[in-house]
Parts: sequence; C-alpha cells; structure tokens
Amino acid sequence: MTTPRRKRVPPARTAPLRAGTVCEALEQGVRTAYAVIDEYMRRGYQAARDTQNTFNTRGYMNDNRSNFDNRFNPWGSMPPMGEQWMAAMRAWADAFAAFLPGGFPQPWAPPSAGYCAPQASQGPLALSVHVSSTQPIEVSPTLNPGCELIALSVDPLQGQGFAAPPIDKVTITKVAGNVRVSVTVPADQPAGCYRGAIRKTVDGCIAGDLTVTIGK
Amino acid sequence: MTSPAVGLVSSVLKEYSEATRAVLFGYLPAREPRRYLYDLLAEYPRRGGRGFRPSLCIATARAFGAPMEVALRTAASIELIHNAMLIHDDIEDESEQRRGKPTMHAAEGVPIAINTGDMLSLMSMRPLFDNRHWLGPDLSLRILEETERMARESAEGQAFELGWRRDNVTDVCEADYLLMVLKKTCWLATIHPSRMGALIGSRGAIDLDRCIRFGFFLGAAFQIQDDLLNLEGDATAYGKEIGGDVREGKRTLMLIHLFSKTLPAERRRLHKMLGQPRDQRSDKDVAWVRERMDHYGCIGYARQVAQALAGAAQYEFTQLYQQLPDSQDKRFLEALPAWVIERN
Amino acid sequence: MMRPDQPARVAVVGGGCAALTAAFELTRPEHRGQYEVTVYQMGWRLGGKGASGRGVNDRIEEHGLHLWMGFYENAFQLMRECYEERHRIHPNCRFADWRDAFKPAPDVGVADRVGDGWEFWLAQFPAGQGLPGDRSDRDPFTVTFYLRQSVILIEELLRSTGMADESAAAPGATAARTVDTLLSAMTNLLRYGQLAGTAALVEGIGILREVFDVFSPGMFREQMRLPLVMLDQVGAQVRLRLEQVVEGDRQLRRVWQVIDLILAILRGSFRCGLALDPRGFDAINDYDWREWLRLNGASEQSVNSGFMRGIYDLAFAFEDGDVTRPRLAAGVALRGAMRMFFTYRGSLFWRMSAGMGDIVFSPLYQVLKERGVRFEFFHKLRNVGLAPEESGEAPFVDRLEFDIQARVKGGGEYQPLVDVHNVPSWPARPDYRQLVRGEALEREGRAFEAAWDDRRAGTKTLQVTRDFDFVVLGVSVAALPHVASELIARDSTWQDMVRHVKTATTQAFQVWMRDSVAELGWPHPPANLSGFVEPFDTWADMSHLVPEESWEEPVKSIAYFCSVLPDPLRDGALPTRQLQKEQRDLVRANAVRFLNEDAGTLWPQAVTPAGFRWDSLAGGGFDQQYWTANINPTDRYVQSLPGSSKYRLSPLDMTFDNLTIAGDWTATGLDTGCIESAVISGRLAAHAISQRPALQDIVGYDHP
Repeated sequence: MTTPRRKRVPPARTAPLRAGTVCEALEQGVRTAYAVIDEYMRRGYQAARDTQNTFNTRGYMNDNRSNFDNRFNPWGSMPPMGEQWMAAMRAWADAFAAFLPGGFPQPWAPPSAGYCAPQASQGPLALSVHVSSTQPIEVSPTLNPGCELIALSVDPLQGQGFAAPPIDKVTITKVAGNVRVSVTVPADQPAGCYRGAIRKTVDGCIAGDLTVTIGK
Repeated sequence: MTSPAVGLVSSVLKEYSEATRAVLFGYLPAREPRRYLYDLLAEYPRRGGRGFRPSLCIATARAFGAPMEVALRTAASIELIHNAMLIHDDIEDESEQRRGKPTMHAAEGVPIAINTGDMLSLMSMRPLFDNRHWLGPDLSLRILEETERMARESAEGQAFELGWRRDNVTDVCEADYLLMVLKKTCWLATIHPSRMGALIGSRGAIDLDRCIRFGFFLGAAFQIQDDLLNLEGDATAYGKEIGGDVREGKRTLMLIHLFSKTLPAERRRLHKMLGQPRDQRSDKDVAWVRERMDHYGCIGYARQVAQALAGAAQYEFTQLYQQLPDSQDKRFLEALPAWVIERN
Repeated sequence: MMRPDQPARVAVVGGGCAALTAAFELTRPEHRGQYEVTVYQMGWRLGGKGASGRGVNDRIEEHGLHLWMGFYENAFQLMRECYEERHRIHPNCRFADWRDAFKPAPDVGVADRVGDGWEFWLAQFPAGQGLPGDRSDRDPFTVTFYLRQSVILIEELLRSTGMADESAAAPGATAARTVDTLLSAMTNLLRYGQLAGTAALVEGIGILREVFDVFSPGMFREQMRLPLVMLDQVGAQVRLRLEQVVEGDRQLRRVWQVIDLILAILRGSFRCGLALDPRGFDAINDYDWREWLRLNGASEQSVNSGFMRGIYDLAFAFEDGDVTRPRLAAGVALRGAMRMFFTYRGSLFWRMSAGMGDIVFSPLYQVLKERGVRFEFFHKLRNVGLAPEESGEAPFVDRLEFDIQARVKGGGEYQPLVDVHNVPSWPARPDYRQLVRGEALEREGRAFEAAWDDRRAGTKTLQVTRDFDFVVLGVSVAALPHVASELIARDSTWQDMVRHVKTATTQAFQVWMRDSVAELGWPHPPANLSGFVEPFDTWADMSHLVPEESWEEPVKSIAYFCSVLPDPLRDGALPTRQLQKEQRDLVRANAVRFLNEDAGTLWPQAVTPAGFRWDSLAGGGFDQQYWTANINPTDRYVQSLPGSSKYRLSPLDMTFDNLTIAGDWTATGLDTGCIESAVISGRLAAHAISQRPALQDIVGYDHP
C-alpha cells in the first residue's frame, strides 16, 4: 500500500467579507451559529489529524477527559466566530425585509469613534478573577476561544505533590456576559502549583484550565 | 404566501417522495407477526409527510448528474430511519398526535411502539445493503459508514435535549441550543441527505464536509420554523397540538430567549414550572409562558433568526453548488432556504 | 505507513514577495517544523519584480520604482517581524531596526500641464497616527466611514479655499440630529431647487456629514432621494465654482477639482448603494474609474487633472501599455484611494534606504535560511504536471519539472549575497565562481532571468509524495500559459483568469548626476512626482541612496524614471533575444529624448538650448547609466482592468487540492499590483496549506 497523498484542508471560506453595516437584531443568532459550526468543524479536523483516523473510528467527541494538552491555538486569535454571517446577512436582510413582522428591524446604533466595528464582541475575552487568599498567589485561567458563550464548570484544583490537598472552593460563573472565576484558598494550603480543568457543563468536555500558584 | 420557489419545491417534493415511498414499501415485509409488528411498520410511512429528507438526497444526487434510480435506496433508507425516530420521539415527548392521527404509542402502547421503532430502524439498513448493486461496494460501504455517523450524531443531540428536560437545565444558551440542533435535527434532516446526494452524484469525488454548513443552516432554520409553527401555526395543517412544545418544556430558541430576558421572579416561576411533571403543568402556566414570550418579543426574535439562518443557507448554497450546471434539481436546492421559512 | 508527525514538504516555486511571505508564514516556530519548505528560483537572486542588483560602483539597479504606502499593514508587519528576527541572528547588520530600512517618504506630487509647460502640485500629508504594522484592534473600515471621511475632507478643503467660514461648527460640535430633522433641513435648503450661494453650499455639505454620522442602511430606505438630491445640488454648485475660477489661480482650481472628484465618489457610492452592497466596492469593478466618476457628475477637467493621471500612472493602468487607453477598475481604484488616503499610518508614502533586494529580500533570505528553508537557485520552472484525469477524481499536481540552469560546484547551496557597506546585498550578476563551468557560462553570456534563454545544465523532476506534498505556485500570471498549461487546460476558471487578468510591460531608467537636485534647478524639496509627460511620467528623487553606493567620482543625486511600455508582444508570446535587444534600444532612445526635451522642466539647469547636459551625468554619458525594458513574463506588472477582478483566483481556491497560488495577480481582496497585495496573497497561500494565519488576522482582507 503506497503512502497516502496529502491533500489541503478546505478553508472555512474562500473570499473576503466585504464588511458593511448589518442589522444587529439579526447578527447575534447567526453569529452564534457560525461560531458553533466553525468550532464543530475545526474539532473534527483536529481529531482527524491528531489520530490520522477517519471520523468513524474515533468520533468527534474526545472522551479523554484528562487531556490537559487539549489546548489549541497557542499563538493567536483563532476566529471563534464564523465569518460568512456578514455576507449572509446582507444578502438576506434586504430580500426579506418585507416579510418581517413589524417591518424592517431597528436600525443599528450609530458607530462610535467614527467607524464601525462589526465584530465588536469579538474583542478580548472579559474574564475576571476573584481571589481570597492570605498567601501570595497567582491565578491563570485559560479558556478556549468561543467557550465564553457556553455554561462552564471547573474541577477541584489538584496539586502536584501526592500529599497536597486539592483546592475545591473554586467556581466559574457568568455574570452579565463576563466569565468570572472565584478561588478561595485556605490559609494553610501548602505552597505549590495547582491545576484543574474547566469544562463545558453541557457535555463535560474540556474548555480550558485553571492554574493557581501559591507562594514564591 | 406562495412564491414560485415554494411552488417548485412543493412539486419536486411530491415527485420524489412518491418515488421514495414506492421503493420504501418494497422493503417492509408482509409476514407474521403482522398485528404486533409488520403492519405497524408501515403505519407512519403510510401517513405521508412531505418527504423532505429523501427528496433532498435525490435532488442533490441528480444535481450532480446522477440518475434517480441510483439514489432511491439511500433515500428510502433515510425516510425509514426518520420514521423510526419519529416513533421514539413521540414517546419521549409524550405526544398524542402525529399527522392528524394518534401517535404509535398512544394507539398501541409504549412497549410495542418501542419495539416497532427499533425494527423500523433496522429495516432501514436493507436498502443500503442493496446499494452495492447500484453503486458498487466502495460507495455502498461509505454510505453505511456515513449512516452510522448520522445515527450517532442524532442520538447525541437527542441526549442533550432529553437530558436538559429531565434535569430541568435552564441555563442553556444559544450556542448550546444550536449545537444540539446541529446534531439532533440537522444531521438527519439536511446534512446527511445532502452529503449522501453529493457522494452518490459525484461518485465520491467531492469533499463531503463542504455540505455540512449548508445543511446546518438549512436544518437550523427548518427546526426553528417548525418550533414557530408549533406556537402559531394552523392546527390542521400542522398536525400536532398547537403550543404543545411549551407544555412539554421543549428547549426551543424562543424558550431560551425568554430565559435570557425574564426578570428573576419570572425566571424562578418558569424554572419551577418546567421542573414539574408534565401532567401537572396547567393550561394557565402554558398561557403565561406564551404571553411572556410575546411580551419579550421572543417569537419575533426567533423568526428573525430563522430568516437569517435561511439567508446563511442561501449563501452557503452559492458557495457550494454554483459550479453545477443549471437544472430543476439545482433550482430546487436553491429554493429550499426560502421554502423552509415560508412554509406553514 | 505515513507517521502522523512527519513534516509536510512544501515546494515554493518562485522567490518573489508573495512566495517568500508564504514560506515565512509556514516556517513560523509555532508550526513546530510541520512544514519543510524549499524555494525554487531561477537565476541567482530572489525578489521577482522586486529584485534589485548591485552593479558597477555598487550602484543599485532596480526593475523600476517601488513605493511603500502607509496602509501596507501586512507588508510592514512582515518586515518588522523579519527585521527583529534577523537582528537576533545577525546583530551586526546595518539597518538593524526596520525604521532604519524604511523611512517616511518626502513630498509627493503630480504634474499639471499648463499651456505649453508644466506645473507641479506638491502636497504634504499630515503624519498618520502610529506606524504601519502596529498591532492593533483595527477593524476593517466600512464604506460609511469612508464616505463620512470624504465629506469631512471636503469641508476642510472648502475652508482652505477661504469660502467657508472658519468659525463654522466643527464636526461633532453639535449633538447629532435625528434622521427626520436632517431630512427636513435638507428639504428646507433645497426648496428653491438650487443652493443659493456659498453659505447654502457649506450648509449642504455640513448636513451631508451629519447624514453619514448617523447613517445606517435601513434608515434611508424610503428617503434615498433627498440625500441624493442634496449631493446633486452640491455637485452642481461646485462645478459652477470650478468654471468660475480665475484662469491664473491654479492652486484654487486644483482644490475644486479634488472636491468635484470626491463629490462624484459620494454620489456614485450612494447611488450604487455601495454601503449596502455585499460586494462592497467590487460592485463597480466593471467600470473604468474615470468613466464611473463622469457618470456621477465629475467634470471633464477634474477627471483629466494631474491628480487622476498620477493615479493611473502609478498603477500602470494603460491597457497593453498604450497610454491612450487608460483603464482602471473603478472599485479597485476607489478602495485603493480610500485606504491610501484615509487609513495610512506614519506617512502616506514610505521609502527604502537601499535597493528593494537589500531591504526586503536579504533579511527574508537570511531569516528563512536560519529557519531551515532550502533554496535551489538556478532552477527554472518548465511545467507543472497534473495526474492523468480519472473519472470523478479531483485533479492534483503530480510533478514539477525544472531546468537546472547551472550547477553549484561541490553540490552545495549557492551563496547569493554579497556585502556592500555591511549591507547584505544581491549582485547584479551571478557569482560564476560558485558555478560549475562558471567561466564558460560567463563567456556564453547566459541570461538566467530571460525568458528566451533556454540553455541548461540539466533537468529535475519532482514527484508528488516522493519529493513534495504541497506546491505554492508563486510565478506571475503572465508566465502561467508557459509553465502551467496543464492546469489551465484542466479548469475553466484558470482559463478565464489567464485570459482576463492582464499585465503590462514597463520601462525604467536611472541616472546618477554630479549635481544635487537643487543645483539642477528643482526648486522644491525632494519629491516623488507622477502624472508627468509620457513616456516617463513618474520621477522619483533617490538621492538618499548615494551613500549606499560606492562612487569614486562625486555623485550628488540619483533619479529614477519609469512608466508603462507599449506592449511589443501579442497574445502572450515569449520575448526573443532579438526583441529584448530592440526594446532595450527603444527604452534608451526614449530616455535620451526625454532628457533632451522634457527633463528641463524638472531641472532647468540640466539643459541648454542644445539639449541635455550629458556631462552632468556621472561617467559622462547616458551609456554609463542604467535602463531596462521589463518584458519577461514574470517581470510584467499586474493590472486591474475593468471587469477583470472577478476572474482572479484566490490562493484559498480548492481546484487543485495540493496546490495553492501566490502573487499580486491573485484575488487578495486588494486586487492590485502592489507589495501589500503580494504579502496578503502569500499569507492566504500559507492559510490554504496550514490554516494559519487566521483570515481575520490578515489586516484589511475583509474590507469593503
């Protein structure tokens, strides 16, 4: 059997999105839809590439829950949002304006600073960390792109040493669309590095992780 | 409203669903046990339905240049699986009506209905085995593999929905919902039929993953529109109880939107209501939910999203199929996003 | 069985901007060696159309004039990263920092014909915020933003004419009025049908600015008429003013011409619904720009102004190189103009501190070599071979066939760089000592970069999977019929592309002079000038390069001239040796005539009634200068003719599943022949293979 020939992975899209103004009422749902499909497709390719197997033998949902290295995109902004929604919006909005009950949706708010930011919500992830500790402590959460939209939970943080007790007063919640991590560290918690997985509530799959370093 | 698009879609659906049914019934044996099984297998297929799923498969295959016959078995299989799932869905949803008549389990009891659904599912494999005479062993095997994948995705999607309902999960966000719809609805309804049509029509040349986006958007628009019709549609045309989804606590886009909009007190009431057993949810509760949906514009919102998704499907259609030569089937596919929204 | 962690081998064919950008992206450390890149280049130097060489006295010899614009975000990003990485490898190089290599360019200007002579309109543009290539959250700008900026520009220009009251409200000074209020204000102003007087004109423009402040597409759905009427009326008033301008007041005339043009842009954008159109500016690409402006009310004199001619000259926008046929796609031009004028950072133009080869391709070469990229020089692509057609199978590249023009002694890699004043540079001729039979090759007069020279030392065929996995085809579009005929025959989109995406031959010459530009009589600061007389309509003062070269006799200024060259080839035939000589002689004759007849306008002291003062040239005569006729297929400049952009193919295209394309001839979003377009293309090609960089990280790719 000869070595299989490599083929390019088809790109998510093959043309520029000529950015324009879009009705915000239509934006949100479809933007989310594109985020979902892009993430779904991307994971599929990742799984297929990682295992060199076809879908049918490995499946898209990776059951390996303890895989902390399941972190993609180490160097930059992987687009969590799909891109075609812009084109789709414009192509559709005009055609169907007449069919919408109540007429055309409300015009989108005037741009600030003189120019439009069509992907404004794609800005930096709004993540806040609330820490309660008597010792010097460093908390670093990492969250996979797109997961800020989804309900999350966090596992108790396990220490590196065998004897170190876990830090289990740790929560992750969404407050007004921002992701908020809370960590309470007992006064007598031994120094060291503790780590726990952040998971998607809906299926338990890894969405990131939380590392806490005490002392030093 | 009937635009030319809707007219074309309706006539093509009629033609292809009839062709599919003709083949499908050939695979339902007439032997014992009849009263407890084999007569029942034919019940749901016999009740009609639009034949949307098999038609999508056939039309895609033909748009690529394949003759109808080579796609018919796969189309029949898809329709059989679809009907098998309907039987089980009706049980899971505790529905009483299907296409204007009692549901299988309402008529025959849950145990027999479960068994019938299982058998119908198994029956759907037979036409796929026969594909080898029409498509050769390689393509046929691929179709079998793809069918397994589709079935798995559907079950996973259904698992989400059932789990949310059972555990009264109410912080389901839109992304969760869309992922669930992608798996539960779109794979069977639009993605798989498209992929199989493309596979058959191109004899394995085209990359099937390209069909997923078109299928997803089309299927999602389809599902949301279905849910809208459940709230607002014409009872006789629709075939199920109006407003039944609300009573059932189905996580529709409207319900999710409602959750995001309600005040804390309202949200508590909603959560409590959904936590009750279904038969304890009163008409008053259902009416209240419906009224709150109207108040917060959830229905209008969902309608807009469905429109937008149909638009995205239309866009994906051009990305995907514009190179194909013009044909009635290509025009049928092109008209589907509009039809999905306009139908009632 | 293929192990999952074996790197994919990428054959990058061509060593121009786009191809090397792709190589740079694919070999980023983040890819962890997943892509093994080999660059195949004919001749001895990288750069393609951007290649430069060092000739006698280390003088820099270019293909023509390469200007960098302040909106070249991707190109500057690439350069900045490259320079930083290069500095780590070679800390002692000159131009350690990119700001040594790239500096804001001086004034730019256009030439206006005035009677029998010329007048020069020089402009200074204010420094833009930040520096090009700065990372930021810059979102693509929208059509609405540009329209608004255009109106503000008109207001500023009006103030500069002295017609508008300085005390008039500045933008944003008053609270934004609502749509209804604006509509009634417009109705009010237009009630007599015409704008009466200057005050009305100024007020009309102010209202338009407010319209764009609050503009959103749905808003004026029913009310499109009024803003259009306002634009029409304002336009009519401006044209009136233009006609009334006193003959001698040319500065004022130019201002009104620009206002007239901008209004035509506004009117056309509004009428064509560019803000609403999902294609953005592409919606008007079937029109020629001047034609589109005329259709939208611009007057003849504005459309033929030096400003417009300068833009066409810079873009070599003359079909078949014929200056009587100016043709430029309106959407491409509009997009370019908007980006150029409204989104530049630092300076409108930037220039390089040495030859383009030294500034761009030396650091790229050094960095890529350090990253492990292999370079095969003297490899000339002959053919891209497809696998035989099988029913239903998607086509793919099966082999790459090369001529080996010369072999390197000892079989190692050719070392292409030479040191000039501590700047790694490319020589104007190959280092024959490194080549097998080097002396013989030199005697034979090998022209390694010429299309006509087929002599070779051998051939090489690369086989898919055995030798390569992916191909980045970075040769320019005009060469494709000769090296990619199988691809073209196989796919109709490729046929359309090579038929419609056209290129132009160009000519250029460079002179080194004993006097400074001021001594020659140029009264203004150093400048880049365009829109001048044919055939050399563009002049750049490159005196800043003198210290980089090694002149023994005193040289005080350098001038580059370039323009389009009438196409001597029909139907894409390959140039012969004879034709190359003839064209070179033609360029020489053009240059000599230009210096004799027209240079005096620029440098009054350089001419006498008898003609040009040849003794003012270093070396004493024209033959000691440098000139070139760029007629090789890969040296042809890529144009944006009306109706052609839609036939460009994207590097992301999947027609051949193991090949991608790279070059400013591809569909890059910018769709023009320029460095930025080439870098975007290279990044797209890298994405096609590795899914990186993410498309939205390519600045300005998603742009109206």
